[in-house]
Amino acid sequence: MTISNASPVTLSTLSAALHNRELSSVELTTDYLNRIERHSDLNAFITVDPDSALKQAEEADRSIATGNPGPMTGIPIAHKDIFCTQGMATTCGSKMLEKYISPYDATVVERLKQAGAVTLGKTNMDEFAMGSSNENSFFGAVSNPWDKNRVPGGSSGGSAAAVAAGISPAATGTDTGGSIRQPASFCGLTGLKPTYGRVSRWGMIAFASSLDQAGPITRTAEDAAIMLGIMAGFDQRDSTSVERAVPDYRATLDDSLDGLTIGLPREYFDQGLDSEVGDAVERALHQLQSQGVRTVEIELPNSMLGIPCYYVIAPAEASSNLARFDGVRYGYRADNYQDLNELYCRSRTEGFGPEVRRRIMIGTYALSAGYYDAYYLKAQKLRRLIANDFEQAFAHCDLIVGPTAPTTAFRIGAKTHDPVSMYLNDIYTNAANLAGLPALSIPCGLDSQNLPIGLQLVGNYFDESRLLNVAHRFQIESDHHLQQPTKV
Amino acid sequence: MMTSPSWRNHLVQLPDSNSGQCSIQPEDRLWYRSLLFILSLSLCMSLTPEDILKIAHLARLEVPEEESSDYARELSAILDFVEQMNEADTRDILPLSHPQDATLRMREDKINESDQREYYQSLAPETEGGHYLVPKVIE
Amino acid sequence: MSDWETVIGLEVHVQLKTASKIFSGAATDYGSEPNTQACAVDIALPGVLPVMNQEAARMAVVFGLAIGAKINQRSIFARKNYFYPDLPKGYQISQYELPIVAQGQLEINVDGQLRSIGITRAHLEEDAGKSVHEGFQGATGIDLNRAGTPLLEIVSEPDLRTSAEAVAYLKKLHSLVRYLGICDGNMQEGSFRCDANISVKPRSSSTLGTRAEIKNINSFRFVERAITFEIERQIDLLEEGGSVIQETRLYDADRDETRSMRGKEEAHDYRYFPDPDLPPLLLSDQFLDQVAASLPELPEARSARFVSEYKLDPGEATKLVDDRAVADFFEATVKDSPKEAKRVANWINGEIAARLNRQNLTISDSPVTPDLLSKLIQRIADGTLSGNTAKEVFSALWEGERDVDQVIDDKGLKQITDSGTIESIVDEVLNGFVDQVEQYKGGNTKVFGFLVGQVMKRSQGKANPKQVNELLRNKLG
Repeated sequence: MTISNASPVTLSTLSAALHNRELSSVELTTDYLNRIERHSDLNAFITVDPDSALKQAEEADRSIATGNPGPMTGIPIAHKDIFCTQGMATTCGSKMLEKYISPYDATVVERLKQAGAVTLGKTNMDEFAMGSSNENSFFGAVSNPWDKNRVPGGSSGGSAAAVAAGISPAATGTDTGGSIRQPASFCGLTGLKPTYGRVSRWGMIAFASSLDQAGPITRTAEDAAIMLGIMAGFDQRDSTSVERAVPDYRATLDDSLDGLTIGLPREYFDQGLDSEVGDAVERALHQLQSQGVRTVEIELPNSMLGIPCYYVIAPAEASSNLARFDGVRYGYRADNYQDLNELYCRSRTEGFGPEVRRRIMIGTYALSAGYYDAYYLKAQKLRRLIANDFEQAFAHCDLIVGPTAPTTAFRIGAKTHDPVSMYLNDIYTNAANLAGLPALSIPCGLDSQNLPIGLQLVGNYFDESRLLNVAHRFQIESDHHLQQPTKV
Repeated sequence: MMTSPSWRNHLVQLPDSNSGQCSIQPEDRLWYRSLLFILSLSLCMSLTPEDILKIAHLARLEVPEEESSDYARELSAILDFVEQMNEADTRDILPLSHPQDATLRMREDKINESDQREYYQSLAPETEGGHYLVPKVIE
Repeated sequence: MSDWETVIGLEVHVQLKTASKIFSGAATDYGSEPNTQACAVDIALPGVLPVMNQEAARMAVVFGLAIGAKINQRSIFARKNYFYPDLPKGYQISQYELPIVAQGQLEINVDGQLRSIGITRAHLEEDAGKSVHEGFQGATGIDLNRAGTPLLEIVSEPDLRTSAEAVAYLKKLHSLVRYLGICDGNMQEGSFRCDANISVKPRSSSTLGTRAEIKNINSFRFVERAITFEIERQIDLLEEGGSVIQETRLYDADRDETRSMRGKEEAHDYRYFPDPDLPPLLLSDQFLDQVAASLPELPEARSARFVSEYKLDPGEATKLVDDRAVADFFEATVKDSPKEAKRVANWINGEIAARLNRQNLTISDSPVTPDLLSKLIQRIADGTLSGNTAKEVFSALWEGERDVDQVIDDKGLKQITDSGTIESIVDEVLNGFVDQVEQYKGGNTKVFGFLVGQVMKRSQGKANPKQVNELLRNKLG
């Protein structure tokens, strides 16, 4: 079997090829390392470690030869540079951690390693996961393989660009306000944010602790099911990790969609929605209806207030989470300082980029004396209203569908002048983070400029199986997920 | 099939690379709008350069004085934006800090960590005699 | 001075003696090489997360129940945000709006006066590391071994009025936490740290004065000195027309004065918010019942029982229950001979306590075990030993002898109770000290004691004192 760009490869096809000895993991890994090299202009990777990757591939080949290989054995993947990896730099897209090498692996990394996956390298991202375009990285912007003048989305832009360009079969990402789903939408991929607590946050550098979740970015729903099955599960090192059995996500992928009800929030489909995005979503809904699904209109009256709510809670938590970066025990330390205060201020000001500093300031303000009630507390109350909206909606439907992002990929530099305009990218995605619900984005078409459009499915708590099932059935009857950027 | 919900104006504008911008109408609840108007007066939305310097100090960030006005403007814009939250009536609503209202799991009181000083301190910018070094602190 | 009233509130940080830290599995031992007990969580590496130690919660509940407090079955951990090198995360995990222990009280006794002092709350939090200022050229060294050790912060109501009350409260609290086994109480090692909030006001006024906080006083004596100094300082200031600034001060033991802390005067905005990494702590009824059932008999109740059951004086009883192991020792000794309880108490509070103190030992190190002590006392009770000879036997036991009767035999210490023998010794003395006899008959009653002493001397202390007394009196008339 040859790996070509003509037909996108999936984890399941690669796995079959490896198990059937059609090719070895070393060959596969070498191939991907070469591709990464050829497409370095995308700037999707921050660190690539060929020696380590090939060693892992060799070991994987040994397991394949001798024992019981699993679905990820020997498969090369990329990790968003927010996951701690022992022995390989973890920069979080920041100068602050430019040279940081974690002494331990994140749980997500551990589990994929144990499953035999081969780590190609660490992908580029918006600094400390703060951004929706991957333009906020110390290591430079990432290009969207569909149009190199456009952004891949963020903050998991590097992971999305890598998978879309075919230089990594799959990648991990994190999602705090839409950072897996929106890049997946912009890059024509499947991206899943699991239920809060489904995947361990141990070793995942914290941005907004009550919102962050790790998830897979893949070409297909089946691949996402494979990866989620390995990433998910209780971890005692994370107090927010939920003790709940992980179902076999692949087992239910082919279940019939007959009788399922999809809720359509009226707030998502107003006249402000880009017509091409709206049309693609409508067509997708028609397709699902033809597959046995019925739709009902629902209301999520407070969901659109998710953005201001999110932009208080996330920066507030981040301002606290990032206080540990002070130049004392690890990370960037300023060269010139006279006293402790200057050490702190200079290290942090020089080490953090402008968006990070902006959010730390907002977050600090939102928590400060006299403002806590008006901002942080208010946002947490609004958050409960948002969660309640979903709860009520799920009494009438099995999952909720709408667009993932209000637009397709915008030009690099188009929104960097105005933080607020950038924040509005999250309009459909961050409510799921606020409520802690699982949500998935799958491609549902291309616009007139050949840019991918994403369809978002939001499920009830721990209902990832259903989301993956609907996505998979949709993908069986359509080919949007098979589209690839032509120029790559 | 899909109707447009009402929106408070001057707030959400959905930018779009292809079609024109679109602004949205305010919700028509007169009594509530009056309440919100009063509320918004009581909240100081505009940050001054002095506020910026204070916040920066709390966060141990440097904002050169000549930049503090710009910063103030920028952050004020963001804060104005988040004022939208006041549209929602949250009286009698409990805050949600943890999705699914989770509760704390505890572990047994056991030592399960060993001395890894050398390893950890290999990450540190400055150490001496096993201590992390910072400029002298006067107490 | 009496125009002024003092208001004192105390905050005590009690280090809970768990094996591992409150949010990580690193050890909590004192005195280890720097940073050898600081794991990834303690040094706040990127990506680490806290996991709660159940023993810390249990100990907090034990304390709460012991002071009759309401336990908040739902309590919340909050982040207290500030920058300091010994605070690796840039925030301390503490409890703010909903602490684990709510209102309780502690009864204190000052010169016989009983007062109930309110305890506003007690909450769990993590300790910070240590800053070492000496030994590093122009720098400060940070040791994070202590970072993450569990603390219980106990806050009193501003009910205390004098430095004596403050000391009594602290001593009682200190004794209680050791008794409950939740803290080793070692003030030199920082296991029990006290901050005092002090203000004064004119007696006639009902508004509280501005208070100053004196931080980190680590001995009872210093507490007394610091409070006394501070009260005087504030009164002097006010009487001169000045005003007290709300500030943090340190007690300088060398100069015996309190001093304003340099450079710490910026108002702290801690920006407390519930820690998103730690969901609310929920304690079930079952858990509370279990802890309540596991509580030892509390010092007050035990002391009262010693008084009623064993007929001890309140003073003797209080002294015994100051240390739970000592109280246990007492009861173990007394179980076979409850009638001798008072005698046992005397030996423990007296001879044993003195020796333990001198040799810097605890009761568990006592070579004289409850069994041995019990035996010894039986021999006093049955007349075999007198007060003096018992002391000799005790010494032998302390040095390692294991058999009371053997020692008595070996040393020939059996008390002389045979009246004939005693009588002959008495006769000897009366014949040998004729002058003293004359003096006695002349009205000098004091010389009686001398004569008794002489009889005891001649009998190597073995004569039964009561019989000696009787016989002498009879013979002298």
